[in-house]
Amino acid sequence: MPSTAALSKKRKLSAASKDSKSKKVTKKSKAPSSKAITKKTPASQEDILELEDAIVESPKHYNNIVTLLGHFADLLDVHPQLAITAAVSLCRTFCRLMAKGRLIRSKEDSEEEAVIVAWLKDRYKDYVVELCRCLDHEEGAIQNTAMTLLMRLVKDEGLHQKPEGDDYYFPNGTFGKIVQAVVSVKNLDEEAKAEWVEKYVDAYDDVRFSFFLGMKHFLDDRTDQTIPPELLENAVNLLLQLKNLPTADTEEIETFYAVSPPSKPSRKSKPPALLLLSAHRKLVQETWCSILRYPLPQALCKSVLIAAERRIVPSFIKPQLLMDFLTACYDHGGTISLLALNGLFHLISTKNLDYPNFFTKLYALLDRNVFHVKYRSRFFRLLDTFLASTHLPATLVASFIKRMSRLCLAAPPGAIVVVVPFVYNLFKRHRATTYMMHRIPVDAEEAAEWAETGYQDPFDAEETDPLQTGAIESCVWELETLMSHWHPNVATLCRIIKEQFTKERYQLEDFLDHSYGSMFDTEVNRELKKAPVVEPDVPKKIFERLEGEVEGQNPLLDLWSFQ
Amino acid sequence: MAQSQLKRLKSSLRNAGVIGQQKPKKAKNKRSLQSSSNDSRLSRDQALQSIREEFNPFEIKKTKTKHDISGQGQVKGKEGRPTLSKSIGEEHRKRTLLVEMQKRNKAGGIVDRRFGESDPTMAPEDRMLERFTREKQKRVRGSDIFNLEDDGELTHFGQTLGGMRELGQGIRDDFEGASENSEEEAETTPRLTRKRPLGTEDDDKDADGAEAGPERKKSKAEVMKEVMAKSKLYKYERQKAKEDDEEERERLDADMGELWALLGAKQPSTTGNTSGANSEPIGGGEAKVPTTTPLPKTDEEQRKKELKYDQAVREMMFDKRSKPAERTKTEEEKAAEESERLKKREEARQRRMRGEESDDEQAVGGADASELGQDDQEFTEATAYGLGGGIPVATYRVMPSDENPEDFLDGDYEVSEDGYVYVDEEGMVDGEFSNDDGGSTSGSGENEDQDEDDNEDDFLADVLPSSGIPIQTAISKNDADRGDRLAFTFPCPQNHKEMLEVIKDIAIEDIPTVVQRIRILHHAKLAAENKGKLQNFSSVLLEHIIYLANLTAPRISFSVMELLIRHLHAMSKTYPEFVSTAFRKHLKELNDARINEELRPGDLILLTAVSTIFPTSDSFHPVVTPSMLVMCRWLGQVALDSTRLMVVGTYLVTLCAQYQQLSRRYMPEVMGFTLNAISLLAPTAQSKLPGEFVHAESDNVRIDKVPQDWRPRKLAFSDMYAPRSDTPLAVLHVLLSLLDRLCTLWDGKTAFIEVFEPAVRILSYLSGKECIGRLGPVFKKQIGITFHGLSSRVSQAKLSRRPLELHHHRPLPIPSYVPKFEEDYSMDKHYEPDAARRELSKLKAQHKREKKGAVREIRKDARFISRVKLQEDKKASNEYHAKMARLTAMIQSEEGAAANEYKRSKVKK
Repeated sequence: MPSTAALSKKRKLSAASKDSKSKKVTKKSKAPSSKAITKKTPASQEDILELEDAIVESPKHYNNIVTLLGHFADLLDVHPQLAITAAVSLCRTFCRLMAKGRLIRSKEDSEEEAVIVAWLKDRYKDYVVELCRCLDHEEGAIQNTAMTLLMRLVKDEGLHQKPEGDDYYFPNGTFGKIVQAVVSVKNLDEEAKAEWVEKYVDAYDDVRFSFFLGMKHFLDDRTDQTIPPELLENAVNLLLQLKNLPTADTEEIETFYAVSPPSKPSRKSKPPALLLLSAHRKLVQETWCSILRYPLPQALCKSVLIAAERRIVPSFIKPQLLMDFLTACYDHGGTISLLALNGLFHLISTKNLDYPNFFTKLYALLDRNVFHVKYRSRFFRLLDTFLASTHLPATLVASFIKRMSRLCLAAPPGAIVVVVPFVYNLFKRHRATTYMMHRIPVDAEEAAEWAETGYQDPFDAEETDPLQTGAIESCVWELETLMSHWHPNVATLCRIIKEQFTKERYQLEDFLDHSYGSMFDTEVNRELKKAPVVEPDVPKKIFERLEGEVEGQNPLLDLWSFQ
Repeated sequence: MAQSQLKRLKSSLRNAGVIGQQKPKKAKNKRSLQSSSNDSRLSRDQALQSIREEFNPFEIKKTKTKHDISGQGQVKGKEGRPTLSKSIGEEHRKRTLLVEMQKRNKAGGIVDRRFGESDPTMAPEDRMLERFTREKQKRVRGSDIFNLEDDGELTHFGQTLGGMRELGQGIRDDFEGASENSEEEAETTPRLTRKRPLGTEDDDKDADGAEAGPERKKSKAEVMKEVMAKSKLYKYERQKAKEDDEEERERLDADMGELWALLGAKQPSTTGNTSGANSEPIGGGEAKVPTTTPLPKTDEEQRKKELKYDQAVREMMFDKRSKPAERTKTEEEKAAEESERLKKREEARQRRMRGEESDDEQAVGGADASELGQDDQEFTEATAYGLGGGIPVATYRVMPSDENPEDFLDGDYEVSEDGYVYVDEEGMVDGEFSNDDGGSTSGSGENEDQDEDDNEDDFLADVLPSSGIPIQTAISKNDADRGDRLAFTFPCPQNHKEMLEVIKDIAIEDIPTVVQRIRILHHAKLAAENKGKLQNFSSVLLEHIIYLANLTAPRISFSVMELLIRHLHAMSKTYPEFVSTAFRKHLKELNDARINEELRPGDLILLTAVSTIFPTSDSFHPVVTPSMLVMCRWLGQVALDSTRLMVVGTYLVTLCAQYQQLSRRYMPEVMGFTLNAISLLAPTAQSKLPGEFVHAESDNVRIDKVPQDWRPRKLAFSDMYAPRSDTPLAVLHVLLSLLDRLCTLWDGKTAFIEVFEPAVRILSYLSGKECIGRLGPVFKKQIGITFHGLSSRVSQAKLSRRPLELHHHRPLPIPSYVPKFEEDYSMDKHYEPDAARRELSKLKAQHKREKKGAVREIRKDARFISRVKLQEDKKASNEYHAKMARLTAMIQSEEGAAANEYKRSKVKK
């Protein structure tokens, strides 16, 4: 609080300098002025409104700001409604002051005025900090109001606080505080955040730019180079919610929240960074890079990887920067490798990234879990792309075929349904692998040998190098067995391996999205066209063995007892 | 024909009889007698006209052809008569357009319909005469104007059709001659036909038809005429027939007296209802009145005798004709029949197991998919295999035509005759029901309803000791012991709430009795609405079975369950759709609500019931397939971390094995679950797990130590919901036996080695030193046996392994296409292969032609209109000028007269 002397000086000064205003003030300022100073805790909204009016009327009552700030801070937990009223009043006050130019220093200002400006600025900062603190309040309504007020302030600040000589101004400082608050508060619920992102950050280019600035600042300024995982999660989630990131295709930066920068920059200065697409993208890229420098937990890593291809990479100027991250993820194994595949493939195909032993790694990805995870169809799509080349060695393709059919022996029907047409396509593309389903002895000698010792399966399931597995000498007995799969449609589909290969190619996309659930729904929702067959004999006993029945006929009764 | 023009004219005039030698007077007179002088003049005019035309070089326009083409027939437009067609067009316009023009902006008007008024060829005297005769005729006809029988002249627009025909004649004849040749004419034709009055059209058509025209469409008037004529004919015939009948009857009536006399019977009263001979009762009644013709009076006995006889005859009418009875079959015949029936049934089952019908359909579906192409959104390849996602392709197992489900149900009864039908104490097989059976089996589905009832009854008969006795007594006898406790009648519950209401105070053991009574009391034979009631009751029963299982677990009374399921089974034979729908509903609920958690006892009982009620070996079955889906889904997705889940899973594995007992299909989930469960039960975790099944590490269920005194036991259903301390041991025991069974089940599969090698390795780990010590001697023995069994089978399979030879197909011929060669190819013709496009281009050409014609017509019309207008204007102006001139002249003359007068007066002065 400024000293009383200063205040009195201020009052005097303002009274002297602005005649017209002081006249106005004298008309009706007696009662409020006395009230404003005496009363400490207003009991009602009217008091707050009076305080606010007083401030507007004359600079004499600038001290009311302090009172209001006090009310706002003190009453927040006791009487939130009043506190909010105070906050709204303050917001209005500051907006008006900014509109009047009281919060900006001009050259003509006297020293005393400069003091007042500096003091007001300090109060403004206090107010912003207080509002940011409100974002952490338990009540959603208060959070919402605080957010609305903050964004209002940002707008007005952008409008009125432009420093002299600059073409453009955006309150990056204030907004940076908001960003920091949003990332670090605990009580702000996800929906409110999402709404904020959608309404402001994603909608306006200048807000987004400032958001990234703030975020980058927030991430880079950590002295100890660590960040609590929940903050990191918050930050990543916020970043992932952005949908309109600038990409190479973005035509123009043209939606602005606060104020539009001059479209034609003055001759001497460069256009503000905001207007440059490259600067924008670079900022996004740097922000992401600073995030990825921190060790991400698995779940977060997954969501980043999922978003990588569609959201993140397009806004990068140099997608190569993601290389390290992606290769690290790919080497991690499991689902994360699976997800990293996509980005990695993008880099390999477009940026000429050389990844040694790509196919060995890919082969290793075909482990016992791959057909059961959620990203099965995603993986198959990629696998289809990777194995699309006709120039791949047949031995390698054969290894993949054999491995997949082996996995099918324990796979759910949804996966088998994908594998079979996939394998069909591979067979069709690589004629050399068709020996796996049709191999006749070369001569009588070989036939005799087979008859004597049986055909020795040369496939080595443990071998990690797909070129060395010997799968091409093996056969797909597994697929043959699956022709008697319990699910009639799966069994029928498997039989395409045995039919003549007349079809050029199966569209994999049609087979990707099947699961137990979808199959069940298909079966159950199918209307009964005909009366289902019923066993003609009513059994005499169900839970008991009949006399004379031998063991081994009925597994249920052999292994279970029903009393 | 190099004659000069003049000579030709002369000869043609002579031919027409205009010049040359006059005919003798007699002949002339004769001719004049035949036709009026008027006629001869007319014909002479016509002849002259035609000759004139013939010799006018401008009348006929010929298109010269450079080369004659043979076989082309008559070429259209070769010869034209421009002046003629022009004049026809003009004429036509005068008749239509001009009239329209004159009538424009005018309403009404009087049409002169007097006979022959617009016929210039008639002399006024003839006209008058003709009018007079018509008037006379009309007046004569006027008296019976409503008499349809009279052949009246029909009119159209008040004009007789005949008259109209006459009117059109003159024009048409000329036109007819020209129409074929003139090109211009061809264009005007549509217009002519459009605007021509109806009469002329008729005439035209008539003329065509007379020559060699195609069957023309009848006009409405003609049709009406025909209809009337027909109706008159029928009416006449009816009247005639009635009259004949009347006559005949009168004649017969007259003869009746004699006839009665002949018969020696008393003549009945004629005053009674005697009109219909057929309605006369043969024997007569008591109310016979003595008739006018006296007959010898017969005595009372005679009459009684007759009466008796008549009665007997009548009764005999209702008797059925006797039929030869079914021969009693010998034991051998019965056995042969029985084996034949079983064989047939087994064949049908095999067919269903192979899913032959459905295979065919799917193959068709697949072919369709390939034909339709890949970008067809609606019909993806996957749907071709019935995998869902939109159009459900019929993968339904279609029943072959020869296997009628009724047949089974039918034949089933015979089994029940031997095995099921209860024989009571006195050795009396229940009478009524066996009678029914005999009828229905011999009749082989002659009466479906009957069959259905029988089948339902069969289980009733089974549980009911003596259903032959009337129902009430049956119940009372049967349940003498419970009679005092249970009511005899129950309402038929239509939903589960009602069911609960019904059995509110009834012990669980008595529920089957209640169900049985409900089924008997509401038997479909007893009332029409019972069928619907029982259908609903069947689904209520299923719901109650599930409810009961959930309620009483873990102490489920399986004897009650069993009876209820068997009741349900019997009902499902009668109402397969209803019961199946109920099953599917419960499966759906199970799939939606509890697929990832512990199953309830009711669910397991449901799945067990499916295994007994429905043929689980079918390739596709609307109940069994969803059940399999549910079970395998559960087994494939369960996270095994508690003993209870493990027991439930083991039960499902057992059920799956039960389901596939006959069809021996491979179930990846079952194998995966079994191996997973065994490896989770192992005392210590295996470091590197063989196989491809999903494995989630968990130490909750590992067997720590097997007590020395533990004896292997079967798992009990109660283990699921109230596990005992040794439950994991029993689970392991059961799983090992199951492994054995699965091994037998899938023996002979080509991937047998791949499937069972992981099992062998897990077992060898179990029998290793890490585990076997803690598993104890009992398991050591069992694991040893299973291990050796499996490994020997696997090594045997290795010996008999051969590479796959799946593609012994006949090589497909490479499709070759012979280039299509068109004989007699012409540049002028269009060879459009696409029929639709061909049609389109034809239509387009036609449209163009029509449009051109129409434009030309419109232009001509416009010219005509302007010409007429000009004429009218000219006429009007002429009139005007003439009038003016007249007036001027008059005035001038008056003026002149006045001037003269004036002069005169002046002069006078």
